[in-house]
Amino acid sequence: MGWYIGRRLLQMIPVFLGATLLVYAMVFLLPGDPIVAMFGERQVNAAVANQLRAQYHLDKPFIIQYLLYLKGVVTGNFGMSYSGRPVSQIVAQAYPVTVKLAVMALCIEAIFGVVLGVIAGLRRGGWFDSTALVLSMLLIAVPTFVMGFVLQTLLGIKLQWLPVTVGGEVSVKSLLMPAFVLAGVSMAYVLRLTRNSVAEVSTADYVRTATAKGLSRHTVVTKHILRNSLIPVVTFLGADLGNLMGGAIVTEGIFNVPGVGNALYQAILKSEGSTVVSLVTILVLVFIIANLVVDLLYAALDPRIRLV
Amino acid sequence: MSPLSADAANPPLLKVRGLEVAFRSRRQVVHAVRGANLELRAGHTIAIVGESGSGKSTTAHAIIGLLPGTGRVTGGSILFKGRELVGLRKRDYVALRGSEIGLVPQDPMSNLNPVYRIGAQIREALKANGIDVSRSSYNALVDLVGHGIEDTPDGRLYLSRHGYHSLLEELEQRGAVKPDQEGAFKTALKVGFSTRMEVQAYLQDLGVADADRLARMYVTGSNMNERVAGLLSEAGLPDAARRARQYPHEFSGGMRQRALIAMALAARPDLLIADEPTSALDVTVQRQILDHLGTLTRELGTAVLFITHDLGLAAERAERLVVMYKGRVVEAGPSLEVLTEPRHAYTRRLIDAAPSLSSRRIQLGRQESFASGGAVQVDDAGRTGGAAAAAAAGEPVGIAEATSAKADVSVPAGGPASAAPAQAATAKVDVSVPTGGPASGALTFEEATAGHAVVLETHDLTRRFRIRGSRPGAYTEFLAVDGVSLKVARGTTAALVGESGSGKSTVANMILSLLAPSSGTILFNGVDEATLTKRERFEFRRRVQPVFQDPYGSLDPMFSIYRIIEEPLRVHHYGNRAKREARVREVLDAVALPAGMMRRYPNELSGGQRQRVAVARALALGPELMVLDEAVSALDVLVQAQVLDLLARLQRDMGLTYFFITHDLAVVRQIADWVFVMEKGRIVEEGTTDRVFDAPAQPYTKALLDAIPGGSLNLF
Repeated sequence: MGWYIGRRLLQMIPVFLGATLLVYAMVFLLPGDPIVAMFGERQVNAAVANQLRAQYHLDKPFIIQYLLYLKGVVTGNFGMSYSGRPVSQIVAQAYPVTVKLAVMALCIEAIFGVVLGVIAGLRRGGWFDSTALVLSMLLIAVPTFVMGFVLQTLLGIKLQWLPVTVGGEVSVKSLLMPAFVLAGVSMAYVLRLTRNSVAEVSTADYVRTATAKGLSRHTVVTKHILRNSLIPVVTFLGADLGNLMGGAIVTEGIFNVPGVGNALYQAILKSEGSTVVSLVTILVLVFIIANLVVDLLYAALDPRIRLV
Repeated sequence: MSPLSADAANPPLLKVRGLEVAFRSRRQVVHAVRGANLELRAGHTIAIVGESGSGKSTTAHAIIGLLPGTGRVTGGSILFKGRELVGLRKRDYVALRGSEIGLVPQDPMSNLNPVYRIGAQIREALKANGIDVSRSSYNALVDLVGHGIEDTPDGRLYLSRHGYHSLLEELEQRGAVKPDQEGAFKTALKVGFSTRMEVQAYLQDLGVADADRLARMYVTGSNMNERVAGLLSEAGLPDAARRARQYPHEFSGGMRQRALIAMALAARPDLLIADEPTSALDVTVQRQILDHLGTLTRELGTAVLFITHDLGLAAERAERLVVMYKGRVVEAGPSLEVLTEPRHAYTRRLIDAAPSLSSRRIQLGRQESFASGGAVQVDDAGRTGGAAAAAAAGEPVGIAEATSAKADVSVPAGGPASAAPAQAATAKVDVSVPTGGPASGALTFEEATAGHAVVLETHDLTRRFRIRGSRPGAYTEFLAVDGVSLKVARGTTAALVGESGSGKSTVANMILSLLAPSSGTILFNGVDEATLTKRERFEFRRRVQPVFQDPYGSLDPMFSIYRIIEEPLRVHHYGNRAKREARVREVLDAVALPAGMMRRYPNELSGGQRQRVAVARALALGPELMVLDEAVSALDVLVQAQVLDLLARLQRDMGLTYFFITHDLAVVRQIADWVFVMEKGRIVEEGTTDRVFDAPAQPYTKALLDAIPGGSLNLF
């Protein structure tokens, strides 16, 4: 077990190097000169531009730029954005918001998806099951922004229950609507996954044996069906945390949430290499750690899994 | 005891009358059970026999109220202890299950929840049925009244771990048990299993004067965990306390079945339903488990409803047989009577097909008999001998085939074979004995295969596997195949027999060139398989074809039957489209399947049909050698007999060579000419089928032979 975790953590080093290099290269290849973009409509002053290029190492070849960036990261200096703010400050501001949003979305999809999925799976073929399946299909089919706009109009403007956008004030209440929209599609997947898993486990031989032992229906469901059928669901949820954080760009845009998605969008527009790379690299590390946690969870839930 | 007095003293525990069970699908209603009747008395054992789909399992599930899916009891009655179970409320059924009716399910692999420890799953059975293992409430009462209550099922007091150690200490102090006798003490007394009475008896045997006082002092009831361990050791699991803390995947199939038996008997039900409890297990394990189950239920006085497709097995284990066919009970009666005088044609077919009952060699008048030089004609010995013996005993011969079978017997003139029927009656030996030569079995491979070229030969074949350890890079080596040398003669059937884990499938994979040997050589037609070029290997693949055990897993469900059989032809550039189609028709015809089958898909076929398709696919390329890895083990007896007949016919017509791998010796007797017995990666014995069956040299072979169900039946 210790060996396993150690090896998985060591694997993060090459992943980190590869991800940063790849993202850095992609930003480098973006068309347009960021310095020219900084001047906007104004005339470009050649001397100032050259000074800025030297300051941001833009006058050096790509690989040197990358190595200088890496050196900065290792010494704890993520560099400066072109607007003059330290990258670390942007990251420190954006991440808490997105983590909050993603965790809320995860809770929503876990609670609603699992509960509805279990009911549908236990009563498969019934009206509840059919309705849940159709609705979840609808949820998957409708694009996120449509869902967002509908909710904004309905809950925000017509009923005025929740704020329409988040803006500068990030609270649980203001994040509720975006969290629901963000959770929507995953929730539908969790529901279907849970439903199928419960339905499959319900017909397993060991469930029949448990009934034959004299256990009541309630004990059979809670002890034998639920635990076994939730194993794949839990692993899906763990892996989905990374997705929710990275996939919040559209939702954050709709609801004007000052999170990673927004920051990333702005940085890409301005070709701010170090900002993009820093934001994305952290997302990659979140993915890796979430997957490691999922694998450990899997081993804890299913004694047949041996981690070596 | 006459049947009449038994009836009066022993009213039926279970009485099923006119039971109807139907499964409703959207379009139609399938009647799985149609008017089944059966009766079971307390403490007795009956067996329901039939092929899959005959409704035997459905009947059992109806009794315990566990019909799957849309299954409903649509008529008739099930009386259990005089109480009607049809229409019983769910809650009442929950109370009934486990405590009064137990179930030992079919497949030990899938019937234990993989995420809970074995002990926890047995504890559940005790708790759910409100079994108070400590019996603390009884303690005072038992002390007052004495022995009276102790051995009633509800009044048992078990030895606790603490009591066990204290008793051992006390006995050692007194010198009654010497330190070196601890082992004997351990085997005699078990925690959570030995009752106060048993302990007392043991102490008396030891010569302890105050046995009664000691037993009362130290046997005061066990706790839940101790009782769970006790139940497991009762089911024959050694080292039960440690085993109870393990998970199902750490258990072998046999151990799991023992755990399931412990579970089913935990709450001491009056009726135990054993639904093909061992059909998924090796024959040797099967025998041990059934023996143990028999002893246990006899001791506990549990009635057993045994369900199986093997008539031999049923007759050996049950007092009465109920034969089911297409949802109806077609025959019922005392086991031996049903077996010796079957009244229904279907029962007769089952008797003929049961591998455990027939020791005949499928013959079909093969042109070149194996070892014709020695005049060995292996024949329908068991059956004929049985008929002869039955006739000799003055019993009516109820087997239609008896007369026709007699005609097949070749008794060489002048040989000692005239005494054969008498011998067959006792030892089930073969009738055929060669003229004047040595005993038929003692032939060497060269003598036996005179006139047959050697197709396949292996020399000192060895295969090691590395098993990953707990640290990176750490591993242990496992020797799966250890120096196997064997020869297979053209046009004959060689069988490789052994328990699971003996390495026989590894040998098959190496012969098929699917797995490289660690050392040793395989010669196919004299050419070393390891030296084949890519082109030669491709040609080799055409000439050596496998048929695997699981007909459900070995056919691609997305391919039509036509495509399955045509694919190897296409791969090997066989003719054009029309020619390939003609060939597919030809091989389908060879395996007795209609050409209309081509457009269908594997899931539309029965198990037997699928295995025929697998054989057809192997035949398509006109191979010389077919490697059949447990090719009939997953099939019902009737289907198994059909496929074996088919294989024998194909061998006769096409001169095929079979390398047959199986754990089932009964099947070997029907099909093989030469037998290799494999144990732990080594070939421990080989010889002609007759020699190995009649005079096994190795204890392992003897154990395998003894394990054939039905072998102990004194039928013939």
